[in-house]
Amino acid sequence: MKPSVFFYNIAQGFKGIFRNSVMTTASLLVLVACMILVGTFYLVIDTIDRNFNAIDNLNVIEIMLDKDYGEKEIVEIGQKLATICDESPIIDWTKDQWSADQNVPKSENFKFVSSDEHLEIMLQMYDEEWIKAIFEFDVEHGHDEGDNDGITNSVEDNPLRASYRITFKNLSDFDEVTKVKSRIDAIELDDASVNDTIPTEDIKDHIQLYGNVMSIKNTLYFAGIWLMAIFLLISLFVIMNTIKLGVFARRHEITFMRLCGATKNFIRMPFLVEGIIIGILSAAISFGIEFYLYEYLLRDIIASATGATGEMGIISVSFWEYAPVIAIGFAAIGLFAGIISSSISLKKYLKA
Amino acid sequence: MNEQNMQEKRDIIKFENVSMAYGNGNLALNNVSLDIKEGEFVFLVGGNGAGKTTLTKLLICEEKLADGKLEVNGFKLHKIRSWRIPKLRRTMGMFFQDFKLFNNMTVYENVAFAMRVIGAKPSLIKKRVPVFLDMVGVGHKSDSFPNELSGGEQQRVAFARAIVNNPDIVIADEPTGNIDTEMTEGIMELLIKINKLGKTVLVITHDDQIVKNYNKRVVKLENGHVVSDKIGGFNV
Repeated sequence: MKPSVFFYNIAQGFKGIFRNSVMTTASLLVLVACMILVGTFYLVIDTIDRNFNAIDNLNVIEIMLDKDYGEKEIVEIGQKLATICDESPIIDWTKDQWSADQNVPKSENFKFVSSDEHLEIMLQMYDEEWIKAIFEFDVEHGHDEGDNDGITNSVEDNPLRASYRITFKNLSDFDEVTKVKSRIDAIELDDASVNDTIPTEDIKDHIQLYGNVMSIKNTLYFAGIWLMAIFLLISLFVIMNTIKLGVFARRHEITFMRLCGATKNFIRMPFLVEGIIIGILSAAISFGIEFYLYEYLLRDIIASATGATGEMGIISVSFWEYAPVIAIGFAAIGLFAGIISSSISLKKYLKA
Repeated sequence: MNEQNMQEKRDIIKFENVSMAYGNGNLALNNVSLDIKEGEFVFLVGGNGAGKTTLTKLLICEEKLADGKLEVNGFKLHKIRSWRIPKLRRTMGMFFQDFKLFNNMTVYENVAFAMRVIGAKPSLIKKRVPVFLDMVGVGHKSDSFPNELSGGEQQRVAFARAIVNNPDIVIADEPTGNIDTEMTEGIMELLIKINKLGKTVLVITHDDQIVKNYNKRVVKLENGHVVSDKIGGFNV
């Protein structure tokens, strides 16, 4: 397209904006409402995600072993868990990773944690005095740093229990996670001296919490997508009407242009420019409003809703971390709405 | 132009057994065959419903023919692709009964608009528009708006606009409808002038007076058929 034609059409597009200023304003407002809605849902969902992901060991299931289990039972449970881990697609572990010289697994995603190792971890996290007070256990009395990875206790009177720890690749396949949990629940020991099955309370996980948060997230997603679709449709409808008014006002010009031999693109372009201007302008306004909404309102609302305040409170990041996604998203919505609505409005007038 | 010269010219418009029906099934044109040579001046006459408008719409590709073959200035309209239609229309100039001037544009802008919409360079527009306005005698009114002009002046502006893109064919749709004798003569003068420059002129009319006044080829349509095609006037 020649530069003169291009600039002529751009100028015509701007003229169109001012020709129907009331309808243009209406289009802008509806589109801004749509974008703010989408943006706000995105920010809330992402904030939930960030906080959720910050919870430690969310993707871990830990099977606590009864202190009365002997080596035989512990190894048997380990082997049965190994079959489950090997078969599950969401656990990055296969039986090959279990070396022949080990009685128990020691991989990152499926491993045996002895009671001594648990004690080590606890000692790293808490004061000895605190442990002594809670467990009525004298750490100094029985602690021996040199031998703490055996299957059964080496530390005398260690009150902690050994466990198997399974780490999921991710929790997004919630059905599979639940399936793994049920299979662990159903493990039966061949010749157990203590329990035939692992007591449910000994299987520690965050699956329920994960499920709840997922359900809230999904609800927000669906509500967000539906509301976005509805608002987008309304926006399209209003922009279409705005452009249709412009098209109607210029219908004689359009007819004349066609008869003179103007191409469809030439006729379409000013209206397309008009739609794009409405879209981009809405995106810019929405971006500004979303900034203030997030920085001065949304963060406080989320924090107070969850009861999280101060330094230990909810994790939220600066708006500018979201800015590229929000800007691109808004621009995409604006361009989509503008281009689609102007194309539909003109269709009737652009038959050969 | 004498008859021998005319026979040497190519057919610029060629209808070959063309039929055209609207949605209700009625044939607006029925098996029409018609040749118009380059540089010819032709009156297309007929009463209401004769098929004049349909024939014009077919020529400018506003409608598609149902049957037959139609060739206009080298474009085969019976199988034309939609992207070629603007190219075809650029070879034609339309002159309307009601002028269809834009009241929000000056005389200059009205004529320039016809050039601008086909992507003419601004420098060419600046050069060409004043020439054509002077040619039709309204050069001094270039900054006026159409509603500030007399009917005759508006007519001349519309004519300048129809020919500013240097079309091969000029189609005048009822150019003398609802205007007085003086204006009718004015517009016919312009049409004959442009015909003398080698342009093919097709005048669609039901005004038998102007047909009688000019000794030109007259094609008469009736109920979608060509019922007469001869030189000289006759009753419409």
